[in-house]
Amino acid sequence: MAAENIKSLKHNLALVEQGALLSNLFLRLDIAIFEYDNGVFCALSSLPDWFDNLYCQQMAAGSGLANDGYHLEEAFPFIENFLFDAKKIWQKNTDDEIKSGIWTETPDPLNELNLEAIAMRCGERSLLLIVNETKHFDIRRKVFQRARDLALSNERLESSLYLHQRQLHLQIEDLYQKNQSFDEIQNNIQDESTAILICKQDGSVELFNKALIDIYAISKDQTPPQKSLLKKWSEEAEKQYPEIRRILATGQHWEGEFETEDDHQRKKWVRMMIAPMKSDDDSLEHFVCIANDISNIKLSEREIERLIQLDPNTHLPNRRYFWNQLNELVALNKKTGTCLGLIYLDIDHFKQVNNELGPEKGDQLLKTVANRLRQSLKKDDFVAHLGGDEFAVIIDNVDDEYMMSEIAMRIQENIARDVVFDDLTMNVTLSMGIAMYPKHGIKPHILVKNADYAMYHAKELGRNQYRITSPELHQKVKHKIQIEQGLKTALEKNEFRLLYQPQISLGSKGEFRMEALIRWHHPEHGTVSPADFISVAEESGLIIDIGRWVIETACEEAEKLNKAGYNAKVSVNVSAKQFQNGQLVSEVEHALNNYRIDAEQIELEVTESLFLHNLENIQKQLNELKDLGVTIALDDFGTGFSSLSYLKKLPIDILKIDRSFISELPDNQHSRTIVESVISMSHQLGIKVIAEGIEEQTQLDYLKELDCDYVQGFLFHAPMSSQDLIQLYQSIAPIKNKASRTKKLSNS
Amino acid sequence: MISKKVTMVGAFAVGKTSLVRRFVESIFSEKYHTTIGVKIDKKQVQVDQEMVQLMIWDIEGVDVFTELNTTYLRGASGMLLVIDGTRENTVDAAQKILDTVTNSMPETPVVLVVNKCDLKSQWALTNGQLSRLNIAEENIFYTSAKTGECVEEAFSRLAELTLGSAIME
Repeated sequence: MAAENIKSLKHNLALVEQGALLSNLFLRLDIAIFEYDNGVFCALSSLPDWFDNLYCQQMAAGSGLANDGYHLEEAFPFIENFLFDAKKIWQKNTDDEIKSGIWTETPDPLNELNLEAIAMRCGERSLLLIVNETKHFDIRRKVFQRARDLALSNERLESSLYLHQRQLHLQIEDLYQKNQSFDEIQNNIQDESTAILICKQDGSVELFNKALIDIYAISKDQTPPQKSLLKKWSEEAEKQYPEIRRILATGQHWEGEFETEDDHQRKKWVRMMIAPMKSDDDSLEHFVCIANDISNIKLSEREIERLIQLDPNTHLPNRRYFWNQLNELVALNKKTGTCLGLIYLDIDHFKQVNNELGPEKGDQLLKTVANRLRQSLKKDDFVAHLGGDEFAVIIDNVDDEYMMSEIAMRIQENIARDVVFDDLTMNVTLSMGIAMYPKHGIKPHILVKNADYAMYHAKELGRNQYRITSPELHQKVKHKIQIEQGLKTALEKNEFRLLYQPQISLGSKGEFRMEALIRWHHPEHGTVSPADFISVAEESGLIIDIGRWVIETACEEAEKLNKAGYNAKVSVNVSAKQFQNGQLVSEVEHALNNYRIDAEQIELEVTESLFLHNLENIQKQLNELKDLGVTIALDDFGTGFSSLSYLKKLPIDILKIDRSFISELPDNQHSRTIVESVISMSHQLGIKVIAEGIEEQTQLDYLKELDCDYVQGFLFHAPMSSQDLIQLYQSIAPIKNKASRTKKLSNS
Repeated sequence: MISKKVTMVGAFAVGKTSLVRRFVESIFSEKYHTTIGVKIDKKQVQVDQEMVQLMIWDIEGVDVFTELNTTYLRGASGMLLVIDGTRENTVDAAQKILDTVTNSMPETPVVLVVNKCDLKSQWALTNGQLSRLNIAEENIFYTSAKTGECVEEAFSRLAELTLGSAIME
């Protein structure tokens, strides 16, 4: 009883520690987190001071921190408004989230808090996070301030140009109407800083001023301009204003901005007004063309665009800029028939850095990676920060995949240097995926998807590497993602089942024992092999839930067999993640109690890789399991590092010789030696041995000679359903009196 | 006391935040500070014999990069649409906002504020341009956040209209 209390206390302490850790993490990230339940918000962790102060200030005195939770919608009208959208997310049973956008609170006249709310669904819980963005807000505001300042001054400049052109037009029209000669008009406009040209409807020049010569860099020997500028302009403007020819042909007024070329083929932007000059009888005689060089305004517009499209932390182009650039370059390469290379990059283990060292160090790391990426690339290569820890590089006009590989290697080399923070040094690596236009996709989004798949594959293969996409890889990764998605709901949808493969006792004292083997029936892909999904489940952490289900189901099966009169032992495979999770012992105990079976009816199979993790902790858990009464089997022995010291140190009852050695028996001398030694050594240590993968009678005969304890394989039985297993037992050892529970299953 | 949500909308740099500061705190600053997101201020206004608390949502101005986030307009009892009398383009931005609002919230009363009326020498608007917006004359105010001209009047009119809409509801 005392032991149980201590265990329960430890379990509670572990939960408290986890809670404290999370609470600390949220405080460091400056996040107030709440669960929304029945119209009330409950804080899920300690709340940052700024929140407490603000909340108390907003609520009427005394009703601040009410016992019945927080009334955020009363305290913050912004949240009240956001709840409308948040509730839609909470009602959906998906992982979606929605952000409110930034809002500002002023706790006192000198300070501002810039906050953002995020609503999300987490399992069955409706969460609301209030994130304090004040630290990052200043950079963002500066970018927008600069962009809007520039936009404002451009707008003013454009307005004044527009006004000036109109005034000039009126002035020239007035002179023209008064029948002034072109010489007199020329005198009036000669020193005007705005370019003016008067021409006939066919474009032949009547007069022009000095500013026109300046804009168009017309040389002295070409003045007056011989070729028809009117025709040139209408052709240039036509790209943006297809209606211009019609307008001029019908003698109407036109205004607009377009890109033009001067006599030295230099590109410029002009704002031009072309107005008809008519005779008294309203027939068109001339056009007056009034133009200003607005290249500088256009340049600063680009600067605004650039500012808005830069990531404020890394100063690299952001996702929006990336998509614009990719679309543009793909269109360009399509025209020229050339290739383009895209690299998708992701910092390995960034999430861990961000969580453990805090967002400031995370930002610092992103900046360092951004700088190193810039250094690894040529000036014309395009690199963007897509958000989080993702970057992208576009290499225009590449020859082949080999060239992209070289660039990826250069990046890898340049990135893989230590990053030094104040008090610690860490090594950074990237995983990269490469896709080529047009080989791997002619549409930008397909190209991105393929590069992303390749990057995902690089991560799969152990990170710190690059992979070039291919149709096979695409399929493989897509399949894996589908498996990953499917696994999330497979338990809920009852898609797993256990099959049982009997293990046969070769000794005189036989018993009923079997290995439980999991199978997944995917609604679309049919039966998925454990080899295809167990590693995915381990990576995603779903193995914890799946493992718990396996233990429960195996215990249920043992109970069922008990009721049928067979006292059988069920062996269950357990993952290292289940040990790391720390709940395995209590889960096994719970299942044993739940189905009221003897602990010795359950055997847990572990692999050698388990001992690579915190051995002391593993040893402790194994001993606790042994204390419960379950037995421990070491699976796949011989395939790993097969350290004999573990056999001595750890409470192993059974050792399973891997099928790869058995399959070569009895002909292969090497395998024979290993199998003989393992069986002999195990027996000396008091450990029993199971040989798995028996398919031939000669293998069985040989193992009998060596006094192997148990055998398992297709020579005897394939894995079978629970129903078939009971039928098998009944055919071999019929139960007449169900009280008799100890029956033998022997191959004799 | 009745509380009413009203929104300040318009192109960037038309003076929305300055108008709120002038109205709520009687302060004006020449320097342009762009707004990001939303800031909410409160002020009580007397309409006839009744006190109304205006919850003024100062919403980031629209430009080529930032569209009006219409979720911020939800539940508003009135809207102060601001244009800059010295910038023609701000009328176009106002027109776009009106089109959006009249589609999604046709009943919301709108007060048009033509701001920066202290800069008469730079005035760029004509009555014709304003008439395009189709707003009743009694709901158009020529204001200056700098001098305070007509600022109180514009907000008071909006408060009256919100109360009117409340009665209609």
